[in-house]
Amino acid sequence: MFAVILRILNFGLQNFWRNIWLSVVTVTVISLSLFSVSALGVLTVLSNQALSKLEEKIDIAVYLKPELKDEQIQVVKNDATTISGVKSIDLVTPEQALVSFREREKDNPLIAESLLLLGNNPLGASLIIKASSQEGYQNILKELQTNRFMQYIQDTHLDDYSRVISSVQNITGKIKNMAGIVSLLFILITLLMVFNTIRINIYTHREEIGIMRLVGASSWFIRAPFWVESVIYALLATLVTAVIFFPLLSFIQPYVAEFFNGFSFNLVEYFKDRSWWFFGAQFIGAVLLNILASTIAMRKYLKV
Amino acid sequence: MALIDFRNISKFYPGGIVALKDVNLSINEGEFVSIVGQSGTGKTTLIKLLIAEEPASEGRIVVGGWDISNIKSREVPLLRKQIGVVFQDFKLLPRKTVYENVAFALEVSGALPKTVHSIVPQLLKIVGLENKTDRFPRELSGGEQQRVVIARALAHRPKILVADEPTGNLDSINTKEIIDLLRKINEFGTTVILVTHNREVVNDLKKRVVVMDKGRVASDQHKGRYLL
Ligand SMILES: Nc1ncnc2c1ncn2[C@@H]1O[C@H](COP(=O)(O)OP(=O)(O)OP(=O)(O)O)[C@@H](O)[C@H]1O
Ligand SMILES: [Mg+2]
Repeated sequence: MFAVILRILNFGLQNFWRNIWLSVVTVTVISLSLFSVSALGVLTVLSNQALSKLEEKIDIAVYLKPELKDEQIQVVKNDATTISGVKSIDLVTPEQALVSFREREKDNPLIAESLLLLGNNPLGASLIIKASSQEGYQNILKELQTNRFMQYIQDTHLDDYSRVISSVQNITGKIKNMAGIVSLLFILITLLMVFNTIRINIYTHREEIGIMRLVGASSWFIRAPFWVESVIYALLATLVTAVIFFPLLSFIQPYVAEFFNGFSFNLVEYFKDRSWWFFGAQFIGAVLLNILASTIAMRKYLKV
Repeated sequence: MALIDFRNISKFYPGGIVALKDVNLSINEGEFVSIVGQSGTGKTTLIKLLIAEEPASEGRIVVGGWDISNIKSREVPLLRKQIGVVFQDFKLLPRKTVYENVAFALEVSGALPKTVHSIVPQLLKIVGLENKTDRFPRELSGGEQQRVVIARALAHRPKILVADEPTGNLDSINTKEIIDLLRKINEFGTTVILVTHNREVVNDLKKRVVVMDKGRVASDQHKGRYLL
């Protein structure tokens, strides 16, 4: 059995070498489609990252009335936790609020002076509320405006990034659509290319195939080398794509960092950590695609 | 029971072509049968039906007790291993040596390397090419090339050897050598079916002769001569 498998692999390799330039072109075309799929992957990762960072930034600041006692603040906080759609609530005590206020206004001597004059802390506590989804904020705001809460609240403020988010979604959506169409196009071209390559290789090997049939080779033995050949194409194309992919990623990394000013996100590391998965999936996809194409070609041109 | 049995065989091709019409033919194990007849009388068609390259339109074909009239395509390789085939156009692989061409038949049917190494030299010895194993087909004479084809046809030790005009491209000396080789193979016990146009060959053989005419068996004689 082992000898037979070795022989089939050998025949597959011979198919590959026999029309080497055709093989090179085939691998190039498959690489292009894998590359466009990879680019689509990068775009998806980038836009998801950008959106999740933006979403992290959204919160509702609820400024409570300064005269509330600590127990009352706790009650309000516990009450707010029960509003549906709330993910987390952080309490900023009056003391913390004062510290950060001073920090912010430290270059303004007038304010420092007036604070000193006041003698006690004029600031109240505040609650920083995050919703579990982007759509939850409006609902939470509405809930906060009911009587239950209004009596304790001085002011609410929603840091709203939804416009930014939707425009980011819009742009990346369009880019992803484009990349998707390009990928699909390349996948289609790959199918045709592999189909045609196998067809030509069947033609090149028509004498061998004729003899094989005459001497009683089983049909899977005649077909298997063409499948081996398809897998070789997929393997080489995946390797080529991976080899080009990482240097290119390193090249665009600085621009990405600049664009997402402030987020520390390393594309290269991200894809290095997932390279087995990322390229393994592409390899399997390419193998399935090529086997489909070569099987169709054999159905049509290899009468065994 | 006969080794090969054609019963009421007809073969029609599209366009109203009648290649074979109601052929009955029995061939016993160990026989040497020559099939002769004018061009286009269905000799090659008969061979194609025998190796299941084409299905019969009517009738029944039995080979070694196996009714192959409705053979499944995945069973064809099994039949082909029992029937060695030699055609006029040699069909050797030009990039393979003599040894490799013969080995190819065994390799593609899944033989172990050990088996290949032991059988191929034996086959080349039978056809008298043991000293030319590393030559390429273009470095051989026509007769030698045909002997390689015969060696390859014998690779699976078939019960039947079919040769369709094996000497069609050869001069009389090479022809005689090939026919002597077929005779030798027949003496080893292999049933040989020879399709030929060559009157001399048939008359020298003094074996059974089946004459085909317009798709029918016109005569069938033991120790026959090429009439017509
Ligand atoms: N694939 C085919 N399609 C249509 N007609 C065919 C086909 N093969 C053979 N024929 C016809 O069937 C008839 C018998 O052909 P066959 O090849 O069996 O003749 P033959 O006796 O071998 O002739 P030759 O001595 O010239 O080789 C011929 O009329 C031929 O034209
Ligand atoms: Mg013929």
